Amino acid sequence: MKCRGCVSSSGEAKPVCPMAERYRFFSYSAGGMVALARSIYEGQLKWGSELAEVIFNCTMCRACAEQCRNIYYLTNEYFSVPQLVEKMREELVEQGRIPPVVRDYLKSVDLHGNPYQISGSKRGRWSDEAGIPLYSGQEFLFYVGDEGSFDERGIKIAQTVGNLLRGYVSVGALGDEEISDGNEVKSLGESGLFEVLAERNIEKFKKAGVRKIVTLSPHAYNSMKNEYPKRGGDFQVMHYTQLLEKLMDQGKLDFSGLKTTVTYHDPCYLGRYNHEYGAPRRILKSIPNLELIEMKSIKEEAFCCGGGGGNFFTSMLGNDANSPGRIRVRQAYETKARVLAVACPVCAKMLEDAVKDEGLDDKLQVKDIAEIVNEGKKGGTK
Amino acid sequence: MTSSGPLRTKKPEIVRELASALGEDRVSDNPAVRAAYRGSNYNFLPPWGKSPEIVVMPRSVGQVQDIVRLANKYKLNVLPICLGTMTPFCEADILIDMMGMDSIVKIDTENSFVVVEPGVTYNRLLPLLRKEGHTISYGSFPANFSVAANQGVLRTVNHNFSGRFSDQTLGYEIVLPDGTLLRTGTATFGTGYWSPLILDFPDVRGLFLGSPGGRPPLGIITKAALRIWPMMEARGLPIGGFSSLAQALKFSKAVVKAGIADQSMVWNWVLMGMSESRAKGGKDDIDFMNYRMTTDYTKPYKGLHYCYTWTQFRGYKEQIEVNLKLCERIAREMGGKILSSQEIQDTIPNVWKTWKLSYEDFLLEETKAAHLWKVGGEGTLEVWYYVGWIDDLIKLEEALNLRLKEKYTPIPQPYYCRIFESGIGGHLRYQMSADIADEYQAKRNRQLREEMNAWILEHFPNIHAAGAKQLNTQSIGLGVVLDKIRDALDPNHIGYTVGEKRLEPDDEGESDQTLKAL
Repeated sequence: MKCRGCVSSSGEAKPVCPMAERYRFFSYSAGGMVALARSIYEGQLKWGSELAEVIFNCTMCRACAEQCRNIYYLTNEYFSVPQLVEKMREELVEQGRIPPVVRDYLKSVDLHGNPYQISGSKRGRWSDEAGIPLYSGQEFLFYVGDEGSFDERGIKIAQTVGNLLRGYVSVGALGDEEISDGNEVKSLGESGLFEVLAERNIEKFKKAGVRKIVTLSPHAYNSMKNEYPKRGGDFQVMHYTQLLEKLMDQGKLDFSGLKTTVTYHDPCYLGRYNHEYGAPRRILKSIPNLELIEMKSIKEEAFCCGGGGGNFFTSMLGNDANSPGRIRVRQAYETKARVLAVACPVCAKMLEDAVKDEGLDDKLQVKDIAEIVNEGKKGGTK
Repeated sequence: MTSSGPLRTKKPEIVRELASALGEDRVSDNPAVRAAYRGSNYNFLPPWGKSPEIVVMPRSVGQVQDIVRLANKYKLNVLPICLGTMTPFCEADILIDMMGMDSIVKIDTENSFVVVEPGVTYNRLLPLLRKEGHTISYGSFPANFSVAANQGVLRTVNHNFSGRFSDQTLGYEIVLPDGTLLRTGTATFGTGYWSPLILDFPDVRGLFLGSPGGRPPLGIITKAALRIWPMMEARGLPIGGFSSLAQALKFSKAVVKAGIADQSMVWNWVLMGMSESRAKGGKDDIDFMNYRMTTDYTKPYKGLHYCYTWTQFRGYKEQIEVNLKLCERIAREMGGKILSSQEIQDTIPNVWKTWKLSYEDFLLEETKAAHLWKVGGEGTLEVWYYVGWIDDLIKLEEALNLRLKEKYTPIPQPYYCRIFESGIGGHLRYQMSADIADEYQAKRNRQLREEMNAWILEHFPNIHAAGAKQLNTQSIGLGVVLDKIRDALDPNHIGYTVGEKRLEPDDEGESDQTLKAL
């Protein structure tokens, strides 16, 4: 294995790896992941629950891959660290040696089509309440995912985005028919279940005549844009911020203004995985009187909120002072901005909880970009 | 290797005791946590050892004392490490990851020193120093290595202020193997003034740096007071081109002896060519490698000089102007020249950019040194390190190149030299370009290095070949004294070093018979 490990990376001292910040031991880092893979390969470490306790803490944020572009090989195969982690997780899943929280997550997705252990028949309540029509050949399918369907904060964001989009384009949702996109399932190493979910979604979308999909979550955006085409699911997929940017360029979305200071958190699956750093920033910068102040770690170097890789549900990284969400909130607070803008329901929830844990409720407000747009657009709800 | 006695029978109890002293989050006996410490955290070069039995990460000096006291109680080996301590295998019973102690205790620009804990990295410290118009000595290490650990590498020669890294240290706070807290130099009297030079006691810093004579560390450094340097209003970095190592080294020796330069080093054309192609993104690696395969060390690659000098100085503007002129004159007198900006741009623009960032602007963290270290297609390098008078090093280079060519490999090898001891001494450092991330090549190179060291010891009596096996037996008394000091400071031999036999179980619950049966 050729690797000098992430300990060799240069550059300014900034937090990079969420689990390394949380645990500090070298094992919980990109270099540590490579060391563990090597130890397994050399027969010095066995697959087991103790390994799983470490491996499943990775949020798959890809910050390591941006910091160090060296690649590692194991039996002549090339991997980035997140790919290596996913491979190791696949083996642990295969052997059934996974932490109980991960097992429960996967079981619920398998049984209910979502990780919330709630019947799929209740999935469409968010759209019923918001009056979003069911998909019946509209231009866009609005796919909201698990968080947008079941999480209280996610539902609010889904409803805001849905209503916002409805004002400019024709959109419909799948309601109770929607199932998990599988992005987290894949990153947790359950590749078989991911195949099933992807196939079911692709089949459903095709049957309904869907051609364009706009997603609420960057996680869904990632799997539908990058994984579904490999399985025959060739849809035009956009994240909702990309659609808003397009509407803005077409002159359909116009702003009256919003006097506030905002800092923006890049979601890993929109930024590092799909290189979309511009659309959310362009939207924010287009709102008169809104001042965008950047944090010290942005774009490729943005520090993860801690919700990726299934941690949003498994909470393996916890919520103590060194948890990723709280570190990110402290970075946001340093900018002195009043609003921490997000473009992902997972980030929204993680960072909102972290704001409370940091005791900053009255100083920093977490808002989704759609909520900010809603307040800043002409005729908006300030 | 199996766990030593007490760990076989009392591991849960020992882990509990450690957790009670350090907190549960800073102690782990999880095999997956431990396995990541099998290799050196300096790099990932094989072969790797077995995992340590327990990994701990103390937050304070008191916790380090608790760890060594517990290690004595149970007769367990301990091994402290930091990012960049180059510890190759970590098989100790208790591995102490010192990166958890990461306070910058003091930055005093007026008196030109800092006090840092071992977990403080260059990329944290340097930006703070630059804000104050200062810098600290560093090598071509990646910027997230521990400052204190690397300044404490006894054998390493400083990269940007002449001398050894250890000359940059003003004092240490150290926890001895029995838990005693020690401060070296004037700080031993509790003063905030750190100096190694005191009338009442000897200077003992060297005893605690690195692994003296391949022996275990005699203490665990918990704080280091280190020199810092003003960046001054102007800086110079003239590059010299020469047709022999003799010319280049004599130039470097002259500028250091005259007090012109903070440092001056020499690169041969092979190192320069490899570095330029790497800095460019590895695009010329194949061409360069092909050239090396078909030539010998006497014939530099197209456009390159046989040897280059990098000379670094800081000062007032007028001083720098004079120094640049002096360098031109001395280079001419030695038969070489200082390269024009045009020649640099035409031949070595990418290497120049990196070195300018590092040694003129002191922006180590911008150099991406870690990536430059990887040789395109050749993996990481093995280092052979020779120290001696300049004239001896010049003779050694020629003889070594010939021997390598005739006996081992026709491919010219990269090396560089530095001048130290005010210009009277220096080192010649070959960086053998086999990929030692490959186990076969690593083994072959170790063998070759040992053969070369033996040959050098026989033919160059004034050259010190670092790490040569014969050194311990050739030591005139020092090895014996070091062993006696260790026995006195570490009677239970809890300090651990590579290849050392682990502690034998005593009456801690298991007989030798039981162990043999296991």
